[in-house]
Formats: sequence, structure tokens, C-alpha cells
Amino acid sequence: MFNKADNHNIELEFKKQRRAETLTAAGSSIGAVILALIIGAVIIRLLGVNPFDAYRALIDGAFGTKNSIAETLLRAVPLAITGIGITAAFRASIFNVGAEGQLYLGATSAVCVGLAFPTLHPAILLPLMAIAGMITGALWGGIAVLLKLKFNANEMINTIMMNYIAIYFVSWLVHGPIQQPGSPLGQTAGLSDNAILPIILKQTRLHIGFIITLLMVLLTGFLIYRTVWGYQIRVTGKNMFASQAAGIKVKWVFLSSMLFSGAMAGLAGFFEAAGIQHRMIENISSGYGYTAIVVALLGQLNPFGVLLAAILFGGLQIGASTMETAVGVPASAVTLIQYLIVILFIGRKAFSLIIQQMKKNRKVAA
Amino acid sequence: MKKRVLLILFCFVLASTLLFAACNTKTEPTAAPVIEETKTVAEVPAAEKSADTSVATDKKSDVKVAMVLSGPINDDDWNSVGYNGLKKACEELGVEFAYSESVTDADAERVIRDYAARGYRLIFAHSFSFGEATLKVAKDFPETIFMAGTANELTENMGTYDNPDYQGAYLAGMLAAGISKTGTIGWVDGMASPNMLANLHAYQAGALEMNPEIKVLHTFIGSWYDPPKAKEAAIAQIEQGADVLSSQGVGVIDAAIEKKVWALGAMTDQNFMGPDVVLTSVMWDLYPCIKNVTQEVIDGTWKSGNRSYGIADGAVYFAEYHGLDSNIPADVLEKVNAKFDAIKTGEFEVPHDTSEVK
Repeated sequence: MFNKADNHNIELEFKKQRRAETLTAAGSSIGAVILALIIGAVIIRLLGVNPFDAYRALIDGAFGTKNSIAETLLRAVPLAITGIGITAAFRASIFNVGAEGQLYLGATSAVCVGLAFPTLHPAILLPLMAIAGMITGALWGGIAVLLKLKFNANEMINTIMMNYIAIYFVSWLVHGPIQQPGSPLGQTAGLSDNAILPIILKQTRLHIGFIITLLMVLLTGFLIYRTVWGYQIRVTGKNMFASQAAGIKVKWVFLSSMLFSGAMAGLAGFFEAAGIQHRMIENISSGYGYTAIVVALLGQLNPFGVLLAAILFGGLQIGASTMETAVGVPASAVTLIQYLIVILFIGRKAFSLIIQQMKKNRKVAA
Repeated sequence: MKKRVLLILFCFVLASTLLFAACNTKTEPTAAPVIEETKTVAEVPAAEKSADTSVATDKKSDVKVAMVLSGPINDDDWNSVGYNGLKKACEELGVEFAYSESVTDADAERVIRDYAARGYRLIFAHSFSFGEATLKVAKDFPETIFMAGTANELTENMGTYDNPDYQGAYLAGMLAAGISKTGTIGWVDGMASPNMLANLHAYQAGALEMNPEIKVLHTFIGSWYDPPKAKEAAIAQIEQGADVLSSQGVGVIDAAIEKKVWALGAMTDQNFMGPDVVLTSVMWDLYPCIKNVTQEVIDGTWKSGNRSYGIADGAVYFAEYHGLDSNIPADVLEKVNAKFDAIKTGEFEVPHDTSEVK
């Protein structure tokens, strides 16, 4: 068998390989972003605006003032939190496209708890609300995996469908049983001061949820890379049968990764409700659950990468509205850039496949 | 393995303490200049009083005005009124202005806060659903002046404006009842907001004054913009006998064209949407309000409160008939015009009723 020195060498070799993989992965993400920005510049030019002016306004809007930095980070919170949840599920090859619905339900139940106990001390009430949101999100996601395990129903399709059920159900709730009395708007009554997340930067809306997000990113990184559970998730995602043969309880891995994913989406919903809207409203999320999928993929399913991707997307979205007012480029141009990033990023494998195929063809011809 | 866990824990603690430290230090130095900046802006009116007039005119261009709108500025409706008023007033006063359109309720506070942080001195939040968001920002920026459309709660630096187009709705009700042959008229609206309820009640009252036997149908479709639903509701009213419809949303005029009944536009001159069926429109012009408020902010004389610019101020009136007035019986037109003058001189006051309807 191997002696200690050999073992050490193998470990070093693995480390080197892993570092190289991370570097190429990061490179492809950054490459996709840069390429998308260049194509975006051409489009902005075609709209009759100097792309440098447009991008300067975009950066100014995203990072130009204390308030805009705070808003960029705030926008990154739901994207990052939901993104790391999606990461865990995707790693186990569970395709959770239902984060949007999980976020809505999580936000709603957190607000219901907040409205039910308005006088509790914040140190008790806020965690209670967070837990309520997380449990609701987890249960809603869990249903899709149970359907997969029991009836072999595709969880991707089920989670998409369950989004609609959740969002319309919440819409009915805020227009019906939990609507603020006397208001024509689809919203609940406002949360009491005890149920609102404290602000950490004066004159902005940046709340404590941002710090919790950073901690959750670290925690998720630890869970995925440094625990048995994370190992089981990674192995199951790579090869379900091998992992089954190795005695890993694949069903539990599927279910638990989805529960974690749903809980993170529910937590993001709690942050949006208790940190920003201070109540539950219809349309509380502008598609965070979907954007988070993109953020998770762009972040290479690595929690720290996801955080960076979330801040990038947050900045793009916040800067877009400033760019719109400053130089008259429609904010949809930025949406376009966002999706270009996705296409280029997903397409990067297509490029290498095409090149490989061409090489093969040449060999055959020769 | 144990070492590694310890190392990670250490990094974790280090990172979190660094973060807390970063956030704390960030607050102080950046917060200070912002406060200073707003202070200097606030001092302008005070300086004006003592200094000569040339200083005052120099300072005029310092005031920047922003407007946050809930829909597109080319909707020929509520948002067009806001944008057109802003543009006309600011261009006339030579003041820099900016706007953000199609802002959702969830995003309104961010956009309003962004303008305040960027030194805009006067900010119009042009939707009744933005009231609470504006209130939150107003508390953080006491030197900035906010005007929110039909807000319930005001502060010293946050005022409100409403659109007393219910005065016009009364006249529209009279006109509709006067030209109706079936004795049934309709009202198709978005949401039952206080403002819209006031309009509906005035429309009913005006119609009843013209014809005490008139039947007024009404529908709230539950959305400010849902053309198919509005059209459906309008057709349902036409099938119940309505031959004049007051259109408070996109889609109603389409139904009127299809079923060949009269429609009355709202907010802007909507005749172009149905040249043969849109008899006239109840116009609302926000220009006088924005102009006066901006001038007051420049002069430093602005006071919080509600601004209501109606028929008497030339802010609410009927659009041109575009040649369709030949379809209106002479006595009806005469009565409507006489009522308009009576409202203008203050002789007649249109009842303002915002009670909910079934």
C-alpha cells in the first residue's frame, strides 16, 4: 500500500488539479461577463449612445454613492442566499427551479408570524420569523422531491408549476384573508418595529440580513466542501449509481439538499419582507428565484463564486436604472446583457465541443 | 483534519469581525459629508433672503427635480399627465429634471432614495401606492422635499397633491346621461382607490342631475392595466344596455369602437384612440401644480400640505370634441358648459365622496 510520503504527494497533486480547475472555471465565468459587456456595448452604440458614457453611468449607479453601494449589496442578498440554496440542490443533481415560489411562501409565513406577535422582543421575534420562512420554503420544495421519489415525477417541471401555485396563492392571500383592512392594494398590514430587520448603514436600507448572508455563504461553503453531507451531495450529483453502490442514502441526499435549498429561498423571502418592504406585498420579488439560478451557475456552483456573481448582478440591476435616466439607454439593455452572460457561459462548452468535433472530422478526413 | 476545521473557524471569525468593522467605519466618514451637503443646500433659501437678487437667480439652477412614475410615460393616461406636467414646468423654469418610469411598488423606495441621495431637492412620487415608501425616505432626508400623489400621512418635508378630476367626472356624468338613448351609462375602472371612488360618485351624481332616471353601471377590474379584462368588462356593460362608457383604463375604447357606443376618455385627449367614438376626455393637467411647487422650493417658501388643482386652476377641463359635438343635444351642451363655469367660479361645489361601493 501507499506510504505516508506517497499519500502526501497524491494529496498535493489533487490540490494542484483542483486549483487549476477552479482557475479555468473562474476564467470562463469572467470571460463570459467580459464578452457579454462587449456585445452589450455594440448594442448600446447601435441605440445611438456612447457605450463608455453608458457604462460609466451604470457603474456610478451601482457603486457611485454610499446609498447605491448599499442598494447593490441589498439586491445581492436575495440573489446570493437563494443562489447558495440552489447550488446545494444542483450539486446533488436536484434541479430546483422553484425558488421563486418558495421565496413567496417563506416571506408570507414570516410576515404572518411577525403580525401575530408584534410585541415580542426582536431578538426572539426575528429568529422566529426567519425559522417560519425557512420551514415553509423547505416544505414547499420538499413536496417536489417527494413526488420525484414516490412517482418518479420530474422535479424541474414540478417546481416550475409549483411556482405558479405559490405566487397566485399568495396573491389571493394578500387580496383576501390577510389584506390590510381598508387598503385597495394587495398587501398585508405593516410589521411592527420589533419585526423589522435593523439597519447597519445610516441613511440607507442596508440591513443586518447582509451580514447574515455573508455568514450563510461561509456556512454553505463549509457544508459542501468540509462535511460528510456535502461530500455525499457532491458524489450523488456526479454519479448517483456509484454513490448508491457506495452505501450513500441517495433518497435522503435528494430530499435534504432540496430542503436546504427551499429553506434558503424562504430565508431570502424573510429578508425581503422584514428588511425592505416591512410587510408582505404582491410581487415582492422581481424574479429573484429565477435570477438566482443564473447567479448559481455563473458562480460555478461554488458558494463564494455565487456571492460574487450575486453582487455583479445586483450592481447591474441597480446601475441599470441610473443608466436609463442618465443617458437614456433603456434598462432592458442591461437585462439583455444579463442573459448574454448566461448564453455565453452555458455556451462555452458548446465552443469546445464544436472545436473537438472539427478536429475529429479532420482526423476522419485524413 | 482538526487543524483545518480550526483554521476555517479562525478565518470565519476574522472575516466576520472585519466585516463588522468595515461597516462601522463606513458609516461615519461617508455619512458626515452627506449631512453637510444637504445642510448647504438647505441654507440656500436663508442666504437668499439676505443676499441680493443676482445670487438668488444663480441658485435657481441648483434645484433638481425628479419624478418617479408607476407606469410608462407614454401611456396617454396617469403617467403621461405626470411626465408632461414635469417637463413643461421644469423647462419653463429652467430647472434640471429627471424621471424613472415603470417603477414597481416593491422597488419604489429604492428609486426615491436614490434621487434623494443624489441631491435632488424636490421629488414627486407619482402614484398613490408610493406614499409609504416616500414617507420612509422623507424621514432619512429631512432637507429634501417630497410630494407624493394622494398620500395619507404627511411630514414637514413631505406634502401631497391630488387630482380633483372628480370635478370633471361630474361633468362627464352629465354629458353621458344627456346623450344616452337607452337610459343606461357605464363606468369601467382599474382599482377602487379613494381617488377613483370620488370620480365614480361624482360621475353618478352628475348623471343623476341630468336625468334622475339614469342607471349607472360600474366595474372595477382590479388592475390599472389589463386591456383584455377592461374590454370584457366594457362589453358586459354594453350588453346590459349602456350606450355611453366612461373609460378609466385601456381597452374600454376598443370595446366602444367594436360595439359602436360612445366613450369618454380620461386624463389626456384620447380621441386619437377612437376618432369616431371618443366624444371628449376629462383632462387633468399637472403643470400648474408642479410649476408652483417647484417655484416655492426655489424661493424657499414651500410648506407641507395638500395641493389640489382643479377646474378653478385650469388643471381639469374637457378636451376638444374633434367635431363630434354635433352629436350632443344643444340643451345638454349648454347645461354642461354652465356647470363648468359654476364650478370654476365656486358657485357650485362638486360633492366629494370616497365611500366604498359594492
